Amino acid sequence: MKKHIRWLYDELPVLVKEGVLSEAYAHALRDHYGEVKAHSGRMVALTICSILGALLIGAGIILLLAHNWQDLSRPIRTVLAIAPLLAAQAAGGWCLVKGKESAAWREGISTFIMLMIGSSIALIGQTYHIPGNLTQFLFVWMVLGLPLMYLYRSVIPCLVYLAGIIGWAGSSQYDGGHGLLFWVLYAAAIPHLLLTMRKDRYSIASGILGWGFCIQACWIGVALERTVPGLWIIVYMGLFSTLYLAGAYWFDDAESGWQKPMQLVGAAGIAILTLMLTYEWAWDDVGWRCWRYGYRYHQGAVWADFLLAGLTPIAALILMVTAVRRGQIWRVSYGAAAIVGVIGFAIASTHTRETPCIMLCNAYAFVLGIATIVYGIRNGRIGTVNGGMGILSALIVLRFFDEEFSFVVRGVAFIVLGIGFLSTNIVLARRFRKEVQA
Amino acid sequence: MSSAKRTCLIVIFAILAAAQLWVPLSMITRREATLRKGTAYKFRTRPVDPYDAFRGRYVALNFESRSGTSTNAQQFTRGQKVFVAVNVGTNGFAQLGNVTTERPREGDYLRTRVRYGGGNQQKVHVRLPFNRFYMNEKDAPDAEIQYRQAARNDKRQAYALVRIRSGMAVIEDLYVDDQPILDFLAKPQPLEDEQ
Repeated sequence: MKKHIRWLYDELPVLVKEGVLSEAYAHALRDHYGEVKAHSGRMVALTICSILGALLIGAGIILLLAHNWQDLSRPIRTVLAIAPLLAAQAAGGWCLVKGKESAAWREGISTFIMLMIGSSIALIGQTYHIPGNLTQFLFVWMVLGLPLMYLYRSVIPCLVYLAGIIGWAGSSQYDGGHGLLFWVLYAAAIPHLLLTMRKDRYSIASGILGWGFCIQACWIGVALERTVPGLWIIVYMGLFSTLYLAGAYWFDDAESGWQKPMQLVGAAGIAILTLMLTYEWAWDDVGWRCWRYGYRYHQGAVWADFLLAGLTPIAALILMVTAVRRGQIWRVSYGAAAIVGVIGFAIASTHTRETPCIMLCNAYAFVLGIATIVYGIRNGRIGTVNGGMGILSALIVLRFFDEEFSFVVRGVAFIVLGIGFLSTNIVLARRFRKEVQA
Repeated sequence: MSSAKRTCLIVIFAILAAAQLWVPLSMITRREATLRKGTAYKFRTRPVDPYDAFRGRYVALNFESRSGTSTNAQQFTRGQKVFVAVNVGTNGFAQLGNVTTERPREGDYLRTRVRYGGGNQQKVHVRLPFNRFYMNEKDAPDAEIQYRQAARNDKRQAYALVRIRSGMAVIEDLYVDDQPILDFLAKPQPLEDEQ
């Protein structure tokens, strides 16, 4: 939308000059659409430099102090460990008092404070030989750093936080604990994403945060309790379907792929996961009859797995119905991943053989590839056509490696696929060019 | 931004900055109090060789005394918070005593967690709340070699001097042949064959 308004604003002076439009109408149009904030290259470059500067200085300080200046006395070393945090906080306070509103200031300062919180705790640990408890360290660091993203409306501390809490969940489970608190920590960051998107859902900050949250969603399996083997299949298939459909519902008018993290991560996740599920190992010992127990599994924490396994397919179903009502029937092909996950899990739970589940996923991958190609051709999107062909090719290639075909047969099949890719692209490019010219 | 909103942000920032400072400061004050007022115990050690990029080099310590006793060792579960009495053995080194879920009323003790219960034995294996001695990256590898040799050599004594107070334990220094590790490393040591 912004791109079109910018184009209109560029055209207005020409239209007024040539008498197509009066000055009053041009003003009225500007009033109607309002100001379009251009992301000037200079501002973006400044912000990137500021973030890089904060990251490099922060990392440099950490490395300098990690050297362990054991010749210095303990009090001096503790002062040295806290001084960078104090300096970062002083800079942060000054930034707020002076009302420094630019993204370059906000991102740079908040990133620096975020790093210095972690470094001061770690370096005090070094001075007093505190045992390495990564779980506790990450938890304290992330909780203390959480408000920074809200105070400075910044992106990088949020990304550090997202990485930190998933690291905490993994570390907690590795130590024999559970990752239930992950969901509380995760929920604490979501208002930041919503606030940023409410301001401008297609801004650079919204884009980066969107990608950060979506990529992190791919790692939530770390926080699952996994007491019921295979429940992750329902959760992930439901999650990717929901991401894809929700993205298609709210971000369909985005100008570029960069602004569609939910659709792209969701679609890629569905395709990759479906292909993974065409293997026997994915369905080994799945279901209620294989319930796990022992000190590594916490029966009290498993409800989060159940909740997600229930909520994600339901959310996908609701969004699928919405897509059908809006006439976007083809989207059901991706939304159906949630149903495939549930059916596959149900079959695997009640049968000892994995073959029906493998056949189901092979068939679904095939349908997904065809549906994507058909949609791409109908809507003149070469990228989508290639995506569909990628799914089909991957399916064929994987099956070729499974079966004992000779090298000659495999070679011919690969060449045929390659020719298919190239010729489809050439034919479609010519067709679309003709349509544009017409 | 309005001045009222900015004032509000500054106040929130001040509270946040205080909390961010409070964590490292409380870590310092509690450990300083332990180092100044705590009772010193010698824990016999053995090193291994890890690397922690974030904190620099350290010598990982493996202690001989890692299990306490209980008349009902099976009642303890992995990760459970416990208190372990600490006393000095006949050889002059620290040894772990009774493991309880209640804080002992007298004597020194460690506040820690259970690694695993003792099965049929009366032993409860616990995580010692000190297992690293940080040094700079130049000295740590030398320290490790010296400690490994000292741990194998019955004539040499390798131990960590640990101060204990109100359940908290802080390593004061590492010793080889009753010399602090830095002093020991400062003197030329003949390296024995590792193999």
